Amino acid sequence: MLEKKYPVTMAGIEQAATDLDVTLADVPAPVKAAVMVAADEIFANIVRHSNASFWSLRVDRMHAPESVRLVFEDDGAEFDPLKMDDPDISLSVDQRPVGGLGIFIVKKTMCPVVYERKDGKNVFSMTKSFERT
Amino acid sequence: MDIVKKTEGGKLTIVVTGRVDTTTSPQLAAELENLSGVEKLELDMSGVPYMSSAGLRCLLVTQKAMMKSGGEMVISGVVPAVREVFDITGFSDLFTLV
Repeated sequence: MLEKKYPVTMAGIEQAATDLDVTLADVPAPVKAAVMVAADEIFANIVRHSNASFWSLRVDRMHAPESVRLVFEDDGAEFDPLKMDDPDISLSVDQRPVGGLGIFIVKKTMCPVVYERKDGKNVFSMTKSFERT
Repeated sequence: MDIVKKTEGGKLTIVVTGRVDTTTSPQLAAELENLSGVEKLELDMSGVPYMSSAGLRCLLVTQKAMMKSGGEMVISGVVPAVREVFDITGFSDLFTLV
């Protein structure tokens, strides 16, 4: 499927998004859209905040139920995104802080989401299961 | 991502085509930066297949600016995948979707 290292730059994100788009070509459009959004949230976190020297993306496909699993690794500072507080989504426009929604979207659209600190690396995986209609 | 702008009096229509994510949202943010004199803003998103939180950030900043200046902002043509992200984040309640 896909297993590749990327530079910790905006160009690295762009390349990974393009590769993922190609890898998921046969996945139904709404499912693909949800995976692309969730992936973008993780790409952005790694590139902006991890201070890693590299990051990688692997895509696994499973059956029964059909699912797509994305596994991200980086050698940056230990960071468990699942420990972040959920945003208050009931606030008005005036009160709403700008930002803080990315990981929340991942948690709401992907299942399961798993974080591990392993061999000095952050390993984050997220799965989207779906049915073809 | 392609952005086309059309002005009619105090109304500005911005048609966005393509994905809105970490790499493309700075371009959208730049187009939405200076809205002085705009009384009504319509963002046509019928050509946007998906939008991540980077795009939501642009929309919220713009909505705050439009409310401050007494202007009106509407978002049109949202596809189901984008609508889902709006629903999850509560953005459906913050914006006028047409």
